Order: sequence, then structure tokens, then C-alpha cells
Amino acid sequence: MKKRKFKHIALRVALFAIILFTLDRSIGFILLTLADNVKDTGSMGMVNKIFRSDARVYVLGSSRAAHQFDSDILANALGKKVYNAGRDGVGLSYSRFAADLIYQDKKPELIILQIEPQNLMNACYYGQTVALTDNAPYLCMSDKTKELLFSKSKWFRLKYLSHTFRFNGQFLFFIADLPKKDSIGNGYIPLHKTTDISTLNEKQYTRARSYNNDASPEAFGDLRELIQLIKAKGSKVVMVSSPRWRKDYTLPEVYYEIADMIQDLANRENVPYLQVLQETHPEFKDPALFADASHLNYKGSEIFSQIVAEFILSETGAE
Amino acid sequence: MLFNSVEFFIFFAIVVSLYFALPHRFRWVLLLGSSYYFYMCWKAEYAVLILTSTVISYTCAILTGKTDRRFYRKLLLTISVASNLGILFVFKYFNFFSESFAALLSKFSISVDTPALKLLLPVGISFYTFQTLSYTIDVYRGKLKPEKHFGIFALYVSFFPQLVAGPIERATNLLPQFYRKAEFDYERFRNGLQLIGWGLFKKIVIADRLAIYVDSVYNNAEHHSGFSCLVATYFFAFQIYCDFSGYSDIAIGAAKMLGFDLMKNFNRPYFAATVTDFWHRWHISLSTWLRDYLYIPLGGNRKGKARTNFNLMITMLLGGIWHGANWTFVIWGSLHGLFLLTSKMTLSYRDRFWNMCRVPGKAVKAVRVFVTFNLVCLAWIFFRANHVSDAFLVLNKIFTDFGKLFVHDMSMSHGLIGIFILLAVQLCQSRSSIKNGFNKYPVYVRWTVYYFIIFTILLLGTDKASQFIYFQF
Repeated sequence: MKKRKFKHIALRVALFAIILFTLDRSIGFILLTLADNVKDTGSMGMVNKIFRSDARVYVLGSSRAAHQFDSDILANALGKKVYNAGRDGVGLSYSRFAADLIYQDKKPELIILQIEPQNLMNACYYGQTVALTDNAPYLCMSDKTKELLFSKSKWFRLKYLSHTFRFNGQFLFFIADLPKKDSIGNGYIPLHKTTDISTLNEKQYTRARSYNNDASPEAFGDLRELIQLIKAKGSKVVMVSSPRWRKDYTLPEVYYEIADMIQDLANRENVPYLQVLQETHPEFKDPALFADASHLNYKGSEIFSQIVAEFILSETGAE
Repeated sequence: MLFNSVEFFIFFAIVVSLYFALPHRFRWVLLLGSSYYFYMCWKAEYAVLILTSTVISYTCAILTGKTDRRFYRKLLLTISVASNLGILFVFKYFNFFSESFAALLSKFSISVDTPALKLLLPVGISFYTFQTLSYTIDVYRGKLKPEKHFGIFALYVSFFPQLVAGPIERATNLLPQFYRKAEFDYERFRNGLQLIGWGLFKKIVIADRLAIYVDSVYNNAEHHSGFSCLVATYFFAFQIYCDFSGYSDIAIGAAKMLGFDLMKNFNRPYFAATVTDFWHRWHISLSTWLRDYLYIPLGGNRKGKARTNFNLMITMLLGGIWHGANWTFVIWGSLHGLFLLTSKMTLSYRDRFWNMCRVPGKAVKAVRVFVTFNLVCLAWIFFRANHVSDAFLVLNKIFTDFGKLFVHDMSMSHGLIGIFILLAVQLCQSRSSIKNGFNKYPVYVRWTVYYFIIFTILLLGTDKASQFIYFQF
């Protein structure tokens, strides 16, 4: 009797688990299928745009790529279709993820890699979890993303066995994004505001020297790996750092140190690196070109994109 | 090891499997070992504290049971209470009183260099201290025979499902259960799992999502509008309820799976029609503890109106301090005391008013529930604020600088959906006991609900295990 009851319970548990597994895979599949139709600027929409784009040149990076690299200006100057795959609030790991997506079925000629010293600091590198988890539905397309995500927590490997969990935290947003229309054709999202100089001055800060602000060896390792991947896939690569607003026109010392390290890496890997600073490009001393202390507005972006285009033409010899 | 972590579920699965595999006479060893392991996962050294508290209470109770002389019994009780409260005072309150004393002296221009202890607050110290106190007092009162088996008594103090945040169990309820031979019971197991699932839902989907909004407003109140502060306060009401009752549900559910019945700790507190009613529904194990071991010994309501009011105020004030060494908790407790007094004093007037208005009973109840909820929320401002000045800033903003609402899509949308589900379930509970009623539904209905809860947690819950608020108390 007892044995029969136990068998009955075991059967129920097994059935519950089988249904749970089936439901998990089905919900995961349905959500992924639905995600293909998202066109807005959320994480799913950005991924879909990369999939559907047919550009010859891609810009990879964070908000400082998305809002500052005018795809049309670059396209006109380079004579090639340009897609800006930058995304707000992300770091180097997203650039790697985007590169992995692009190389699924595309062979771009050139990748413009927006990279800031800040992206290579410990705090930024280890604080990328949110951006990484956003990419979870596409884990099978990027082994590097999988590796980075699983290194964040020893239990992530177990949790991400669930295909539904990969949409954790994003579900409501991408459902809300479904009916929205495509708002960014070539990926560039201009910022139209201009912040007045007094506000910019108030927001100045100094980066004290600390572990958080030190260069991350892991981040540099990932950057080198990304450059090598792009080159191995037959594309050219250019690295660009963009200007920030500083009332005294100089950045904290740690920025220059990390920028020098980026330059060393660029030299070793034979990659052109352009640093656009207020010191090197005095036109950016005009606060009217900034939307905030970290981002150029559309006017600043026009000038900046032109500088980038000229640099690319001179360095890569592209037409 | 947190209840909402993968580690805990692996640990618990191992304990449950071994528990039912072992003969009854060895089970206490397994549970005691697991409980100490569970506690030592936070800070191994602090197991010494819990062991000290256990040894003192055990010895005093055994000696109390051996003597009939009133003086010795009282002496032993004093030793036990003083030692347990002494440990609690040193680890939890010393710095608070020391700093407050220095601050008081500085008002009179006297500068004193008061000592400060650099001690980390042991998790759950207030809970197990109150549990051991209730045991010693019950033995002293002759309500309970002293437990002779040291291992069983140690297990009573450290039983892992309720060790770090309650419910604060009475020895009369829990101790006999350790002697009862528990067979594997499918019904109990299922009910326990249901409670754990519901507790996890409340913690992960509601509390932890709302926490993002609440923390960003309360930690930077000066940069937020009164509107945001008000919304954050309402959110905090649900955050703390879901956090704590979620923990209690998991604790009760885990104990149930092992064959133990822990006391109910919450009964839909935000449906309370008066503040008195609220305290019959909120943290029941603490409120009944304070009633039985503080309010009634102080005289309760047996010594006239003035003394009753005084007893009530003292009880609520100490209830506030129990939560933490901060003036915010003192004010929180005092506010509740004040609400209780006002509620008692104005009850007849309010009844007369509602009778005069000839408003339907349900509408009156709805108004009372609304007012009670808002009074409780007013007190939550002090409970949540990092400092008293922050609490007054939040109050000031709510009443004078309403402004624009700070929107955080993720926490607001996820949290609101969670609150909606919670309230829907609780409204159903008000009609019948959903737990018993629910088990009568056909299997496909129950399983649909289980899958709904699981997938809601997977899709809307937070992806990292965060600490329960009451662990710090």
C-alpha cells in the first residue's frame, strides 16, 4: 500500500516536471518568436535591427556610440551604408555581443569600435550584469556573452537552463514594445537638447584613485579578443573615444593613463585609434555642442562624425 | 544562506531526504546539525552566542524545575533573563545607547568620549533571544516543565526554518513536536510546498521589485518629490509585508514539510479595520509575545485607565526598539502606541458618528480599512527612513512639495502586477480559507496555478537573492 502510494507520488512529480520542462521550452520559444517582431529601441528591438541591417560598416558601443556617430554623415563620407549598433547603458560586453550577432550572417568591411577609458575600468567592467542579462534570450549566439554571464554567479548556469528565465525582467517591456513602430532607421539616435554651461559645471566630478577606477586586465583582455575576432572575420577595425564636457577641459589623470593603455593595445594590434578630446579638438570647448556632460547633441555629433569619417579615410584608405 | 537562494534549496532538499530516511531517534541530531550549519553560513563565530544563550536558558530552567523556593526560582529567572538580554544589549544596543548618551550630554555642553563596540549584529539575535526568554518565563510560571534533553532544547532555540526571522515560537507549541514521530505525509508536503512557492512569489516578485523604487527614493529623499515619497511609502508598506510574510510563509512551509506546525505570523494585516486589529494580524508571534510577557505582567488593563495606557505605550515603544537600535524605530513604536491609545479613546465617538451617518456597514469598514492602512503607512515612514531627519523630510515633502512622480518602469510595473495578484488572492482569502479551499479544486486547476506562480517568478522576479529585511532585527 505504502509502496503504491509512493509510486503514485513519484509519477505525479515526474509528470509535473515533464510539463514544467515542456512549458518552459514552449514559453521560451514563443517569447523568442515574438521578440523577432519588436522594432523599438529596447534590447530585443536593437538585436532585431542588427539582424535585419545590411550595412558594410557597423558602429559598436554604448550610448556614446548611439547618440554621437551620425550614420548618414559617416555613410556619405565613406561611401558605404553604415549602421549604428550602439545602445544606452551598456559596456564593452555589449559590443562583443553585437559583434557576435553581426558575424552570424554578415561580412562587414569595417567595424568602428567606440571605446572609452571608463569602459575599461573595474567598476564599469564588473557592473555590466544588467546589459548582459538583457542579452540572455540570445545566449546561444554568443559564447562570450554566455561565459561572461555565467561568471557573474555560480548559479547562473543552472538558472539559464530555463528558457523562460532568459526573458526575466524584460517580458513586460518587450510585450509593450511589440506594437511600436521602428523609430531608428540606421541606429543613430540624435540628442536635440542643449544643456546650459552652469548645469554642466555643477555636474563636474573628479574620479578619485581607487580599485573601481583602475584599469581592468579582464576588460583589456576582452577588448583584445574582440579586436582579434573582428580581424579574423576579415573586417577592418577602428577604435574611437569621444569627448566629454569638462569645465577646465582636462580629464582626471586616470583617464589619460587608461587611454595610453588603449593606445598601446591599438599599436600592438595594429588598429587605428582616435581620441577626440576637448584638448585635441578645441571645437568641443563649446558647451552648445553637448546634451549633457557625457554626450554630444546632434550639432556636436555632426562635427564629431565628420572628424571620425576623416580619420577613417586617412587611416584605412577606404573610399 | 538565504531562503530565496539556490544554496538553500539544495541544503533543504538534502535535509528533507535525510530526515525521512533516518530513524526518528536520530532526527533531532540531523536537524540540530543542519540548524547550526545554516546559522554558521552567515558568521560561524556567532554560533557561540546562540550556544551560550541555549546553555544558560537550559541550565536555569532545569534548576528552576528542581526547586520550589520562590527566591531561588526568581534568582534563576533573573540570571537567565539578564544574561540573554545582556547579550542582546551588547551586540545590538550598546552603541546606540552610548551614542545617544553622548548626544544628550553634548546638549549640556559636556563632551564625553563614549566607547563604541565594533561588532557585527548577529543575524536573528532578537528572535532567538525572545524565544529563549519565553521558555524560561514559562518554566518559572510553572506553565511548562523544563526540557531535560539538551539536544532537543538546543534544537528548539536554533530550529533553522524559523531561526533568523521567526515566527517566535513558544516552547509549549514547538518542543512537544520534536518528540512526535513524523511520517512522510504527502498532504503536508504539498501544503508546505504551496506555502514556500507563495512566499517566494511575495519576496522575489513583489518585495524585491518594489525595493528598487523604495530604496532609490528613500536613500535620496532630498532629490525626490512628495509624490514620489508618497508612492515609495505605499510601496514600502507592501515591500515589508511581502518580504516578511514571504519569509514566514517559507519558514512555515519548510517546517510543515518536515512535519512541524509553526504558528501563523500574518493574517492579511492591510485589511485591518483598526490599528488594534492590525496588531492582531501583523507579526502575530511578536505581538502575542509582547502581550504575554510584557503587557500583561506590567498589569495589562487590570490597573485602571491611566496605567493601561501607560502599559500600552511602554509595550509598543519596546516593540519598536526590538526592531533595531535607532530612534526611527523608537518613533515608529511610539506612533503605534499613540494610534492604539487614540483608537481606544475615540472608539465610542467614532461608532456614534457612523451610526448617525447611516452609512452601510461595508462602506464604513472600507473607510476604516483605508484610514488604518494610511496610519500604518505614516508610521512606516519612520521605520524605513535611514534617520529621523530623513523621515521628517519625507513627511515635509509629501505635505508641502508634491511635484512630479519619479518613474522607474521595471520596479513599478513588476511590483504593481505583484501587488494586484496579492490583493486578488487576499480578497479570495477573505471569503474562505484559500489554502483548504484551493486543495479541493481539481488537479488541472491547481497545477495551472502552480505553473502560473513559477513562470511569474521566472519572468517578473528579481534574478539575484537579496536579504530579507527582518534578518537585521
